[in-house]
Amino acid sequence: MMRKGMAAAALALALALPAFACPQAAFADEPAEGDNAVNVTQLPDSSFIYDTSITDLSTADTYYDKQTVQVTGEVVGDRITAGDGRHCWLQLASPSDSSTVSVYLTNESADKVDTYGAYDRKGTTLQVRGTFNLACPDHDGASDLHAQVVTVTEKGKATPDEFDINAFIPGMVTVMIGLAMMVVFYLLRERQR
Amino acid sequence: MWQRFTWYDVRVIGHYLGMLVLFSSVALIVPLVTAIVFCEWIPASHYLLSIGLSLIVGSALRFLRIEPGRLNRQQALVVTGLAWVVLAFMATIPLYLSGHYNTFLDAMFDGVSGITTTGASIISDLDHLSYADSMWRFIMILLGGLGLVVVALSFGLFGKRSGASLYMSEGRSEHVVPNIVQTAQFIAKLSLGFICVATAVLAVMCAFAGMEAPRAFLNGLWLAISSFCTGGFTPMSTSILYYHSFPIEVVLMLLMIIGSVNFVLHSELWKGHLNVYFRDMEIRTMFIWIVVMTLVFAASVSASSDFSNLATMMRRGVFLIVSAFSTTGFQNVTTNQLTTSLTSGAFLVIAALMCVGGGAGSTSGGIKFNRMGLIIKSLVATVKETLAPDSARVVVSYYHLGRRILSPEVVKQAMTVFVLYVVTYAVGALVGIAHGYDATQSIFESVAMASNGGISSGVCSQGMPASLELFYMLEMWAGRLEFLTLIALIVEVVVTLDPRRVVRSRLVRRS
Repeated sequence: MMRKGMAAAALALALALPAFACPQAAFADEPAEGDNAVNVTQLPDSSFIYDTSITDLSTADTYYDKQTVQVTGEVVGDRITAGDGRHCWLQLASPSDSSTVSVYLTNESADKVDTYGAYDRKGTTLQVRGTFNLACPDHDGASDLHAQVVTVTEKGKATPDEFDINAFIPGMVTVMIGLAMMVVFYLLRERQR
Repeated sequence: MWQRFTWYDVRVIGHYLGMLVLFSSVALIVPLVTAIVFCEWIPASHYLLSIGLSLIVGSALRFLRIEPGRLNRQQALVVTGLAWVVLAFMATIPLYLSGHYNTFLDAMFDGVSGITTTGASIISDLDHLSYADSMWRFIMILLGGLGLVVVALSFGLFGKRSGASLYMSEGRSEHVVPNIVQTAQFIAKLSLGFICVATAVLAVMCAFAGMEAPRAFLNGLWLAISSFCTGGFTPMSTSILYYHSFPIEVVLMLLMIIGSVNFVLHSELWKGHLNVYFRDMEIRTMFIWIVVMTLVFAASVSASSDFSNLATMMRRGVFLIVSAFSTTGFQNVTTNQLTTSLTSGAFLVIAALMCVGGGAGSTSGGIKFNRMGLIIKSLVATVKETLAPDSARVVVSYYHLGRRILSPEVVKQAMTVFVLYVVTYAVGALVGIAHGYDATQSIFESVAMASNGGISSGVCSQGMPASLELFYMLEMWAGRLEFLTLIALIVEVVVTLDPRRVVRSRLVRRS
């Protein structure tokens, strides 16, 4: 009971505080003065979707087209040149599943990548903010993300296989059994002839 | 009367299957060497184990009959039909051990898809797959594209007489030269020649695109194999879109077109018989079909807001059309774009292109151009007969490696396979719909599986129902063997295992 009462009081305080802290909020229709003026003619801006997942982009419909999005993922594969000498392509993979998105970015931004993900390498994790195109008019209809801001959130690392002879023992045993069977077969066939 | 297999037949079939399994252990050496070269020790241990298992299974099967004698036609049909299952199973072992599949069935799906050159894949995290496992995926495509039996024959595995029955049962009927082993060797040499040249060209292009030398070489090799064998697997998850390179797409389109033309016609071109090549009914049917479907595709896609401008249509549309008709399955658009950006009409045009496929005796799947040509010729003959006076004898001819008269037997064969393909497409679509998928996507996916086209609309993915997965595997298998071998195999097995027939045959033997 005591805990519930405290929670109710905290909620009431939280609701009341903004009214005291910013009294103009209650009168948003009236233009304020200075930098904080409210532009009443401003249209709603829906071209900005923050923190989208790569999975969402890989299954995106027209809602995401031409929107500014922010995604985080591992760089995999290679740095593919874009042909103009100033830009390149990277492949950003989702950390949760196999989905990927092609990112078009400047060479300076791509220089931040220290490792490209592959079998024995975890690629650099990048946070990319940019414009998503369902079918990019600049790149003959490719589905891509034109990067504006690229930030490294985690460096890549090499994870090479360690040679362990024990891992090869089952293989060596089966190969020897298989070869022995082949020799026996050969001898039996020769005897029959 | 249906012929029942005896225990002797089973032992002979087992022996020859064992030879093919032993042969697959040789193919497994390629990814093993790749693993060792790139210090991928875990995959190396997987491939050593797979080689050992292949040696044991292959040798055990050979023990069924030490001196097998020659294969007869029925035995050859079963060996070919089962080879595609047994080898797909053996090929699945290293794939499953890679850890990139949730279940063995998922790995088996990719194994069947690779061997049958379908190209659909439900692998997870392809971009982190080892070079060795990637190499194995493309070796599967190479073996399947050329034909398991053709490859085995080119190494002289079955001898000359058994080879003829095997060669026919793998959906091939035409010989480049009268000798079957030499024909198989010609197919293998021609393919390897194209693949070697294409590898060099594509590796240079990949290097120019920014790849490191070893990756450029491997990507060039894998793309060359996959495009010429009209397989459709790619080293990266975004298929051909990954390369963002128009020159690479052009080279791949050329390879896909070459791969989808009858090898016998290639030999005519090789001999300098340009006239034979361009007069051929198959080539002309191909040309007319592609022009018509391209126009329909362009008309349909022009209604789309995303793909209607000329540059996009040319770059994405033409590549998709070539990839679809050759039943390769490469994509330079995302799967999402296929279903959201393309119009439903354009989507169905791609399905129709996969449905018909490429040339007979090529690496393509589908109904094939020669059958379509023969059926159209048959229609012409029927109309002519209807209009001709009763006393007239209507003769319709066609040009395929010389002028030939259209006979009822040829038309019957073409119609049978055509009907079997259409029925399989329809049944597969109904199975997809019954599993709760969208009707258009179900039709598309069913056609992609049975024609070995492999362009996926997204139905084939991890977590798809196991029953649907199994049905699609059956479709891929049936499509690759062009049904007749598969049906013959099923009939033989049913007749052999039917208890009433077993009892009846024992009674006959006692009396």
